[in-house]
Amino acid sequence: MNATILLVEDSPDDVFFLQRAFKRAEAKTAIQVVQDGRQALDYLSGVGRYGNRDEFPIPHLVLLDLKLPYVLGLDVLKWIRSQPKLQSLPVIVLTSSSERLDLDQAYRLGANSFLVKPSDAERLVELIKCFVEYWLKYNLLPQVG
Amino acid sequence: MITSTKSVSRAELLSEMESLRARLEEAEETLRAIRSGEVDALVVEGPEGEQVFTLKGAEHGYRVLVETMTEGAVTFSAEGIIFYCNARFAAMLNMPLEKIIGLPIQHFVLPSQVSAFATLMSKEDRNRRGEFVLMTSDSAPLPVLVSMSVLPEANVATICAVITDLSEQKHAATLENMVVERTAQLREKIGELEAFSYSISHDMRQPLRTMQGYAHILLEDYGEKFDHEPKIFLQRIETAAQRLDRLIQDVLTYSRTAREGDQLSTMNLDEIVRDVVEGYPSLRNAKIEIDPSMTLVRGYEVALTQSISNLLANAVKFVPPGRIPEIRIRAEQRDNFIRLWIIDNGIGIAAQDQQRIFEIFSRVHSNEVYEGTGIGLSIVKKSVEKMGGRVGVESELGKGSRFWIELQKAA
Repeated sequence: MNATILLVEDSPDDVFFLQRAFKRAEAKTAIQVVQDGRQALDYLSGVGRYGNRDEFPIPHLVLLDLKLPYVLGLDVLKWIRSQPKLQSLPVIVLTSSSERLDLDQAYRLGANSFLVKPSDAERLVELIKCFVEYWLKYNLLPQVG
Repeated sequence: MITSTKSVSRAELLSEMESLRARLEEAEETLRAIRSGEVDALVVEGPEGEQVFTLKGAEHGYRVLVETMTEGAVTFSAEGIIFYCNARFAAMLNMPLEKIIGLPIQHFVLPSQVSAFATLMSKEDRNRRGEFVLMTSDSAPLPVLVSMSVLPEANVATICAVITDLSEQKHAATLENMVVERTAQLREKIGELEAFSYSISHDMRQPLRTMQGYAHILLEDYGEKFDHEPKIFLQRIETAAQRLDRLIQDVLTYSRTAREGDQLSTMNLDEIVRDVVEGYPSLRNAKIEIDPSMTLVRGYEVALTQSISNLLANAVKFVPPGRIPEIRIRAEQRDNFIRLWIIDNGIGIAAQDQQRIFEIFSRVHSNEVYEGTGIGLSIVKKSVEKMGGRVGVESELGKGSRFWIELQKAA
């Protein structure tokens, strides 16, 4: 399956590392990138150019950073869970923080998984390989939208 | 007058005095007996002959009650002239009872509250109360609760009041307020610390990951384009970034451990010391001698590793230029504690600096001479204290330092 992943990540460096890691993991995925929380909300609700669902399809998964400009990651998550059409959309938090506060709050708000960005590129590739294997190979995804 | 006085003989005067003394004694005894409830009736000789005042039945119980109760009791006229008070009220004012009777009650009320007190006195309700401050004989303020009621069947309008000493209650309330305030302050401090470590975990690790990430990608994806030396430099960037990231994570873990107050666990001191010695590259150029007889202590792994590595890093750092650092690490038992000594051949610390070096950001040397942040030893102190231990140093300028940490011995 050629899955679409919406990557919500404000650091262009991390976007670069993640795209490289997905390539290394040889995943058949289309990665859509938005750089802040507001863009994530626009993308998911199809505002403006995101209304073109051929170019910007509803994703199968969301990879969500927590510290984002404009709208924080946890607020994006809260918003997703409040949308009837997006309630079942799997959201995987991918952040540099392993703070218990974030962790507990993310799960409370309905995150499906919580991953901490590894500090080195090698382990990031490993993590993304596992991610692809689990979420796109073994795990069954819901119908969203 | 003068002649008549002179006409009274000395013997007559003495006898009159004797009789007065006897009457006074009798009166005092009667008063004592009334107070202690021993008397049921009083016979008083008046102009119309003998009058009997009975003090029997329920009244007897009331008198005992009034004289033994822990509240002050006082009766006074509508103008405030005190007819009677119990011993407790006299004790509150720190004055002999006889001196109180006959004085206006207003005399004992804080001047600024006299009019409020008068208002309470003039009210018609049977039960009325108010908080006042009384002035004791030594002018000390005494916070009290005053409950007044009118004695209905008395010939002269009589008010009786029960006075409750509130000083302990007030004191307790002040203490309670202080505790509440302190707790709020501490909670705020903890909140600040949490925000601080939150920000470190998010903001400081990000650029580090970036440095490490690009160095790694250069090596892995473009490696064949580099000569040997640039490759080594890239590797060093990567290693340094990884080490700093580990350090940040350790500090975060430590701050979390400190916050959560986890259970101490049993640590093998020998293992931890050897791990630190082997793991830190800066220690490789030093001669380090480890006492093999070390034992088990109670601690947190991260905090303990951090403390020992900070002390060892200092031991190799603060040496005169050109001298090879020599460190001896040994442990000794002191009652239920293990004292770990880290003894160096460095520059030593002057007596006046030995206490303040453990305070955060305190430094003895400028950055040009010995580089540092001034946090290292404060982390050692905090970590060790968190583990229920102590830290200290013995040193003399130019003669090396003997730092020690004391940890609880594991059972």
